[in-house]
Amino acid sequence: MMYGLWEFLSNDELVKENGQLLVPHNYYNPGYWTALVAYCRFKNIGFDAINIVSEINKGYAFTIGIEKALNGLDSYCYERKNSGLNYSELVHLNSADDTNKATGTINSCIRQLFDTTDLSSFSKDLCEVVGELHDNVWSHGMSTGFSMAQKWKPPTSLGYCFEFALADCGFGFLRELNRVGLNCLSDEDSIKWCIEKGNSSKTQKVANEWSQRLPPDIAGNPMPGIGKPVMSENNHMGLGLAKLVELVNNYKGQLWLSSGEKTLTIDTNGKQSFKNNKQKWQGVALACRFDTEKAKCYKKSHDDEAIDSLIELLKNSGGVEL
Amino acid sequence: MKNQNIEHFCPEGSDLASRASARNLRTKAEQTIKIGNTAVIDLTNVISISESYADELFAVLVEQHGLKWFSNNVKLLHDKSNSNDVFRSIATAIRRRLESQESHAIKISIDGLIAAKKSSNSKNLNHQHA
Repeated sequence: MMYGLWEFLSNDELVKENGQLLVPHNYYNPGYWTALVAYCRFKNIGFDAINIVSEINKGYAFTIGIEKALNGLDSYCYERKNSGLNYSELVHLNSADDTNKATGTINSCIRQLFDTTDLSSFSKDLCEVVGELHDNVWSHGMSTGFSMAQKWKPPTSLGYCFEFALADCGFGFLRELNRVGLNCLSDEDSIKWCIEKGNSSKTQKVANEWSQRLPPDIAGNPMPGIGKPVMSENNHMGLGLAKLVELVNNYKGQLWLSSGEKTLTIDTNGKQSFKNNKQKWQGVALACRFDTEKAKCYKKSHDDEAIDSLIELLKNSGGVEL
Repeated sequence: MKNQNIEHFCPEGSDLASRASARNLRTKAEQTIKIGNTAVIDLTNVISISESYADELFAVLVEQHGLKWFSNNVKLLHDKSNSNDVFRSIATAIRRRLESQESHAIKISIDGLIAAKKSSNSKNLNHQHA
């Protein structure tokens, strides 16, 4: 059986009485690994406290850089020959500058993986969504986010499977929306709100203009009921998650999007449903999975003449073409 | 003819995603334009650009100053092999900011800008030859 984000969240006893986090022998994908690393880092669980039963899994954990992510050391003594070919190592979204670097790392891996004409549209759209999501995690995840990607050959498909995942232990949707003054009652409602195009917690106006001003990046509110954060200049458009859902629907992928007590799943037919997490997730975690055979079938159309004209204008802006 | 100085800006990285870094670059570009320079954004090493980055750097400028101002003051340096995808992301972001306007109306005003630009370029060439 394959273990992903959902299986990680379905385990209600992650840390055993002896303080160890058990990873039984199994096949794990990026959704699991990113959640594991973000969780351990948030709970201050070192690499030594993770009991990875199988030597194969342990080797893989070293290869994707879990030790480096948790302990700051990297004792893996082999060359990572397939890094960027079959998988990307774990990327820590630590600062605004790291966002571009991390996007470059994952995207160069995606371009290597899908370097064929029939997947070029998928590869380009996926790269764009990865950038949006990384920036989201940086904006909301308070430097606690990790991401990674992996490709594998499933026995049931002629093509390859690909999964991109990220996890952070920031505010999470519900707390974030309530923090900016939107009265959201449940994790399910907050997830539904956040996947709608144009909805961004960053664009919410403060309800009472006379409320005490606090810096926009303040963590928590020391003056509950009085103080509200004020965004100075904010151009967020609320595109990231909406684009992700569109990508999953267009290319017949699967999605797991978790925050708090709920996980939204989208299957390959676009059917959405909510599940209860046994392990409440502090922050936001997501995994999206695609089968290249299904992804090939989507044909994108560009039918906005204004966009074509804008491209023409940009090309004629007087810049130099190399 | 207006004699403008040029200031180059080169975003770091092949895949641009961070709104925060786009905002910093936009502020610098606006400052240089304010003192009469042309801002040249060097995208030669850029392979992908997220819509959020494109929005924060380019579309916000268009929204605040207009397409004509943008076209006159901001130049893009690009690599032909990547330019279509990168330009499409930028154009999509600008289009989203101009959502209230009809597609055909935007096209007409852009065609006018392109024609004016081509005519001005050819006049400059003739002036140089003379």
